[in-house]
Amino acid sequence: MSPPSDVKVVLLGTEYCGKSSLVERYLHDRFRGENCYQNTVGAAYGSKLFEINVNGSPRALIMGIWDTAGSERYQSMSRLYYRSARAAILCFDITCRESWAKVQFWKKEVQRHERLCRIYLCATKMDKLLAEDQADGTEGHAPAIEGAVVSRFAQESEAALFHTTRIGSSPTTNFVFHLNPPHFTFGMPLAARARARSLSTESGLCCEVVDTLHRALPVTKAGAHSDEEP
Amino acid sequence: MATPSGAWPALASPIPTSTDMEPTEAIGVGERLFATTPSGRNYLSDFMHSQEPIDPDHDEDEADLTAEAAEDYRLSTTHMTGSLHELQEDAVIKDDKTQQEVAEVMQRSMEACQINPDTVSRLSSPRKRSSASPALSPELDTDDEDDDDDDDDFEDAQESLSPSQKRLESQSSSVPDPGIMNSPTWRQQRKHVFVLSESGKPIFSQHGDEDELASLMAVMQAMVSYVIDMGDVLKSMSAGGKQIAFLHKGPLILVAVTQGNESASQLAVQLTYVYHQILSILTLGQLTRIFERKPGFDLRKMLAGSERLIQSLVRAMDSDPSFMLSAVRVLPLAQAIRDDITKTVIQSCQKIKNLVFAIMIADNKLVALIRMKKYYIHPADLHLLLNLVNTTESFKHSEAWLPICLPKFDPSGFVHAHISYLSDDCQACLLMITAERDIFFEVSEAKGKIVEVMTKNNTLLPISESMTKSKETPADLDFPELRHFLYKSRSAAQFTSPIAATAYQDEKDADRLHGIYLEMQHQLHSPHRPLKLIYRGDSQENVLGWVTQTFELYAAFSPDATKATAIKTINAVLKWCKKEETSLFILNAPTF
Ligand SMILES: Nc1nc2c(ncn2[C@@H]2O[C@H](COP(=O)(O)OP(=O)(O)O)[C@@H](O)[C@H]2O)c(=O)[nH]1
Ligand SMILES: [Mg+2]
Repeated sequence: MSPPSDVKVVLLGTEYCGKSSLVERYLHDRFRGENCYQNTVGAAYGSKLFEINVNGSPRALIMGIWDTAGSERYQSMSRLYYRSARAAILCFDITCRESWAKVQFWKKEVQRHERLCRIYLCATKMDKLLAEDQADGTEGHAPAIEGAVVSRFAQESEAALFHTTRIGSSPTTNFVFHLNPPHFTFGMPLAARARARSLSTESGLCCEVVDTLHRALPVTKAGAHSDEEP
Repeated sequence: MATPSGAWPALASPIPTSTDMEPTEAIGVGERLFATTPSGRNYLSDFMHSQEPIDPDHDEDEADLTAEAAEDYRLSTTHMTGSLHELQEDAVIKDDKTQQEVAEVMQRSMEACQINPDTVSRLSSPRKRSSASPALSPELDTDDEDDDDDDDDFEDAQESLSPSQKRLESQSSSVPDPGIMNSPTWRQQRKHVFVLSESGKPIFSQHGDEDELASLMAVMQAMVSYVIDMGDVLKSMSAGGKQIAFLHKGPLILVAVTQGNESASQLAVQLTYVYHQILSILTLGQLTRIFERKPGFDLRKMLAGSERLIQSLVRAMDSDPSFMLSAVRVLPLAQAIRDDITKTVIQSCQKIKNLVFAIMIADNKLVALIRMKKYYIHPADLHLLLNLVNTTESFKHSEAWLPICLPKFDPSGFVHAHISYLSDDCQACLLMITAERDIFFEVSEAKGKIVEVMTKNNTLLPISESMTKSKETPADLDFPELRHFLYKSRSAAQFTSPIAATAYQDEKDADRLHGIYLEMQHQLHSPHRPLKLIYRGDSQENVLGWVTQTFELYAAFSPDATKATAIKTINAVLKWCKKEETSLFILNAPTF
């Protein structure tokens, strides 16, 4: 797809691991909540206009985000969505082993076909590991993958590792996705969690991704595309 | 393939006025209508045509399609002639001997599967009925499982089936196995739809977890393959008061079991829809390849996330007359407005390569449909698209771009669909379908332009207005005597119907009416003895069914309505449909 966006970002990962929630949070600043899961079919496109600083002068860039469905049946057609992407965010649900296995598949797939595409790892639903975040008072989940394994994989793949979580435990609070620093450890102590919460919620995942991207790649095309305003 | 110009025809002939109907003679059961050839013949009329008695020798060359499956991305150059022949295929007559043999093999296979035979016999084993009474009134029917099963006042016109056999056995069967098949709620379901692979692996069950039903599905597979071994095809049987239909398509076996009014051929049509729904997810090529490579493959893996499409389709077929009528609803709009919308879409899409269809839908109704010159969209494909839109909430929030297979258009390849809603204020959904997979942004841009022009021309508002207005009852339309009606323009394959009067607000009553419509539809289109006009009444309602070359009409009245009132009213309905024709139906066939 010839992109009218300047940067193409694709989210890959098994169905139900939290991709759409991340995009929704990033583009519209909302979280629908676990009770109203909305199935993604094929892939959904969204875009965001943002400004960067190039040699002292501001430039507008459009980031086009492809949120894929992740279901098995679209796998053979997924190239359609990640072709010429500059960033691939490989998501996995920290409590779901199967989704972790898929991340390794996507890594190979993307690295083989898109040499310019940078890979980012994103462990989602971190809140589930923490007992006090469970609304029903149950124990927190055990992580399906060991933190060390994830970190090693991230290093080997030269991929930045992110952890995302839903903030707020009682059903009445508005859930907010939050990006934790890359050095998040599994079973983070309370104090660290509090720190993570106080981080600005403005810095969504994709912002960081593009920021890194911009530093890595020269901007070839710029200019405001008013019709692309999300 | 050459197609007639001005392809989407206007109604083939004017709707008859009251003089066309002779009250005293016309009302009565038993008139026959023999095969008639409709005039306009394009995709829609082809489709309509297929509702006429079918030439049994006609054979769809689906096998060839299987052979050329490999290419997923490709625009078929041979457009499907769009006949529903295979949908309307008639149930094969199974003689008693065959039924007996099937029962035996079932028994044996159940033993092999170590199933308590009683459990399954409820579903599938033929039982002889002791009383010869032609109808089983609800009072006589003491069985508590049959509460949805309403009055069989009519002799079943489905002669191709063995006489309906009501279950006699009582509830007392021993049930040591706590499996789902013994759960009363599961067994009391009015209808079941199952999909399994040729090797008997469960793929889908409407009610209950497929894994728990593996043994039952194994029995179904055994039955189908037993009849194949006999050099025959198992299409339907009636047993235990239930109608069971089988459809063996490609590597799949589909089975429907009903205690309701659906005839075997109607069930076969429904199963074909389910089959098409699966093709639309996978394409015939992919489906065939999967099972060629691994006959024991668990197809649920490939359908993960899409089961809800099958579920909602199956559910819709139980209440939505669109499927029975093989027609779509149209959102009423003044012709000038609709023409303006159509023009906007055509102009905004001029530059897009290989845009095959643009379809605007609101409230499960068609707002506009524009097609590429030599292609037609089949109503069966349209129903799949409507089902997709109805069940996918996320289209409301973002633009989607997805590969989809339209089985009637091209069963072995994907086309690409851009799906999005027009705006937050106007909940109409626009689907743009193209053969090119890489033109998302061009299509997306065209969509933006369409919304822009529609806002400027003020054509979004009329859509929203019509969406609210279409909650009208027959009384709102000035037919207080009527409780409900369906009017289908046969040449357009479109129908209109108000929402039902209070008498059918209750789900149970609505189901009963739908059941009566199903029975009537079957009698009106029976390949053996099609009726032209039916008027039937009981203590609950009087219902009229009438089919001519131009239209098909079903109307429900209160039980004390007289025939004279009924005739007067439906003549008024016909006049109204004629008068409102240009707003109720899309009678032209706009192309890009
Ligand atoms: N507890 C928790 N639930 C989440 C989180 N992210 C997503 N979910 C829920 O997980 C389900 C799947 O999310 P979705 O974003 O639709 O997944 P997708 O299929 O990958 O797009 C939804 O019910 C979300 O509400 C999270 O960080 N924590
Ligand atoms: Mg999603």
